[in-house]
Amino acid sequence: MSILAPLGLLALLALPVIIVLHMLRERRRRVVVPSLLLWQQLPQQRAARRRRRPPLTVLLLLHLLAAALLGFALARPQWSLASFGAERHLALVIGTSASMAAPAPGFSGSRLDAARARARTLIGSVGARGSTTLITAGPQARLLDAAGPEGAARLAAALAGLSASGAGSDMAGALTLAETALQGRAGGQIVVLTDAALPTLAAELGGRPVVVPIAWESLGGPLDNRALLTLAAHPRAGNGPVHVYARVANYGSQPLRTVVRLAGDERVLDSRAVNLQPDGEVELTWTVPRGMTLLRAELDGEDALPADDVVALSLVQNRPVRALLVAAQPTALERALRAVPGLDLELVSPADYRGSTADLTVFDGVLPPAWPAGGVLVVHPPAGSPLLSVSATPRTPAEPALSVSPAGSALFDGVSLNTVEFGAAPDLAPPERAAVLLARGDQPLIASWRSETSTIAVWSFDLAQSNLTTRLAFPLLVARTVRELTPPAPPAALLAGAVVELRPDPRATTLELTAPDGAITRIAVTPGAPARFNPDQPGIYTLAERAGARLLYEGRIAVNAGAAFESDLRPQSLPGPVAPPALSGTEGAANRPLWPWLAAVALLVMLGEWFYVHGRRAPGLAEG
Amino acid sequence: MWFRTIFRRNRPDRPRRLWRVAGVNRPAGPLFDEAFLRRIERMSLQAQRTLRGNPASGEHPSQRRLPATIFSEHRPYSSGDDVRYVDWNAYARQNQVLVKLGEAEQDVNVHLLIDASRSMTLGSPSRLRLAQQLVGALGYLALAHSDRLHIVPFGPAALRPFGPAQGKARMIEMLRFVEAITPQPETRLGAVLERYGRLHPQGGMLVVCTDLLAPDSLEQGLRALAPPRWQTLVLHLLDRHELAPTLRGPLELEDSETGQRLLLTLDDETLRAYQRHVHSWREAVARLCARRGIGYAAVMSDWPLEQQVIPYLRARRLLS
Repeated sequence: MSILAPLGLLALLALPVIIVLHMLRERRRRVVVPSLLLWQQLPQQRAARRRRRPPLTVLLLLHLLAAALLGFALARPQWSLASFGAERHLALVIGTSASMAAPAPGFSGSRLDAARARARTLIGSVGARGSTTLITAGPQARLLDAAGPEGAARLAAALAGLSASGAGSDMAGALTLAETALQGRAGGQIVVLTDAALPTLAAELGGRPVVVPIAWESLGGPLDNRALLTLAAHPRAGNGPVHVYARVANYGSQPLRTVVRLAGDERVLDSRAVNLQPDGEVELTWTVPRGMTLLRAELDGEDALPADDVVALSLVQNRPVRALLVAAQPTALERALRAVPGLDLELVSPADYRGSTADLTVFDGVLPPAWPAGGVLVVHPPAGSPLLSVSATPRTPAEPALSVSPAGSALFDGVSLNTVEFGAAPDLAPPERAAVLLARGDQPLIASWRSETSTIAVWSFDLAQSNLTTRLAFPLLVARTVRELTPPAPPAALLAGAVVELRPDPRATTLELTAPDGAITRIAVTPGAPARFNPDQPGIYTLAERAGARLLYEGRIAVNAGAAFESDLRPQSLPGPVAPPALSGTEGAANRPLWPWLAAVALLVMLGEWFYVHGRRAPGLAEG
Repeated sequence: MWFRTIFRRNRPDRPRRLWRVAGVNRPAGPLFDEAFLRRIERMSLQAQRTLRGNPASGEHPSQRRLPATIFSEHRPYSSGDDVRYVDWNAYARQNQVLVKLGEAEQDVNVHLLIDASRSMTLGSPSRLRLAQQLVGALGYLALAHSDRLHIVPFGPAALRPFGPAQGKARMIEMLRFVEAITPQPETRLGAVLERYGRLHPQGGMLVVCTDLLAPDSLEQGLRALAPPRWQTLVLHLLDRHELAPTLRGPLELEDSETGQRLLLTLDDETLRAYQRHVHSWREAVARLCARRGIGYAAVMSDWPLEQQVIPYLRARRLLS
């Protein structure tokens, strides 16, 4: 049985009021006697004593019964067939965010351990015809397993494998999963086991329709915590010093003093004492010398949640690019390529070209027999190559207006081509999968596409015939083209539990991610598709991109647990038990409103009370 | 038969006619059946000689001696005596004209007063029903023995009476009258008796069927009905639940006649006090009646008329 309006139970306060009223003014049964002559001189000394205790009369019982029935009716109770052991399908939503690693009050373990114990109890309470669905509400909601009583051992094993990690709880997503799992099942119920450290819960669930009854169980308690929320640096790369910013928060009711240590590449750079007010924050700044690759800040001592006492930041802003320029003679293109940060350029003549293992290969006025792996930029391709269809005769279209396609907007954003003359250019016939980024009239000038292991961009015009190299747009276009053709550097820092999409080297076949605890995750790379990465442990992950056995790139990703919505361990108010509104038809048959029946019985009781009161005016001596 | 409608037997397959009197359902039906009347016809009201009656008819002995064929004693002849009663043999022996005197019989005035107040309707069976049966039976005996019958229902005052009537020919009328007595809102027993005594200076046999639950003084009324002119019997109709009520707890008692209410919490101690009070009240009434030379008989309302009430009245010498 569930209750839709628990506030209606306040009406039960009328029960003691009724008892007090009966004690104050005892209602007397009226009896008609032949005459009062014989009754008028009888002693009445015991009347006062009788009023000290509640008069246990039929009338009092009828009043209490009517008030109790009406009170329960106001609470709008519902009963379901599951209440009578028909079927009970349970969806257990277990919070697995980092805050669940904090100690649970009254339990010798973490909040997650308490949730596991409670979940085992609930799984055992499901009848023979019921089922249990396990869902985790971490940064991403996840369906763990679903089984009936026969699969209890499997569910227990799934529970044992849970770990508290990641920042944030996708409670709305978890509830959606649970409702989907219970869809079409009578007697379904969702039980949410959480530490209630969910500051944004009300906003997430606001206005969300209730389809299945939900019971919220809080496993958390008031715990103080402090956290390093932010670590940022600017500039992350360059020749000058690096300015570092950090933010420390105190989620507690007591002021505290702590020390923040900053380390660069595992070398302590500074230790600074900070005073934190209750619910206060302190911002810190440092200036550190350039050349470091990894910064790490940490608080001394331990608190309820050690994971958010450390924060790290990678200072590697650019990924190193090895480029090979195949050109008959050095041109302005070479100068522009050398100006790209982090790019290591090698020059080779077309005659000496024997293939390329570089990250980026640039062909100026020449085409290779086959596309090399990695990024490929072709400038002014010659005619007659089987790789690319190019007309032999350059031309200038009658309508020389330039047009940038939506796919090229990122390349040409902020770049002015108004004074650029591209000169006569051969007609380029790019493959069907190619995207034309820039066209002059009907003539494609810049196109880009992707083959199996290569990302190819073609500039059809001749730089020598164009004034582009004399314009500011040229180095920008070259730098952006290099950026598009080569994979980006991994993010400097991530929030634990966040999903990040990595764009690996087009030659890579496998991504290898080594977690802080040494666990290795290998992700097979689909050509042309980003690889999804979901780090759930705070610390430093190592990312390795491999083409077969060959290591293409290795970098580090800092993953942090400190977040304002996760580090505050104090429980928030959870929604009360909610039940879906009464449904019609077969869906509504599972939950039936009980209040009309309660109200009807209360009406009958009141009717009986009326007859009892007024029917007793009959002559009394004979009735005894 | 001519008295079919009166002496109709109760038929169980026929629903009884109910009417509500002061909130009480009272079963309708004949007061008694024909066989009962035949059985009690052998009885008669036992009137005292001191009552003044009419010697022209009646079967009650009189204090007066009249010339009669049945010899009792002699007295000297005086002018105007019927010469048929001269004892000529005595005249031959004593040379004095003597007249033979004999026992004279008379009829008496039988006054049956019935309390029709609302308090008489309460109880199961109701006291009014028993009073109607009693008055009907006594009235039948009076008519059957040529007495002059007066039936007077009363409430706060005497209501329209039945009679004086004499002879069995008035029996049907009498029974219908008794059956038609309806409850009155209240009663003034003392005033009614006093006024009735003044209105009937000749006196007679008077039977009052009442519950004695009246606020005014009973002694005042009984003073007007004292012997020797009156042979009065107070039939005190009592309800068993009135003597020993089974009520408990907090109650609001309502007077059936005045509507007055009394808050009372009844426990064992209070009920014992009530019973003591009722007992002393009955004793006081009995002493008052005895002091005035008036008969007093308590009759329970649940007593069967023929099996218990009639033998009781015979024992009390009202019937012979």
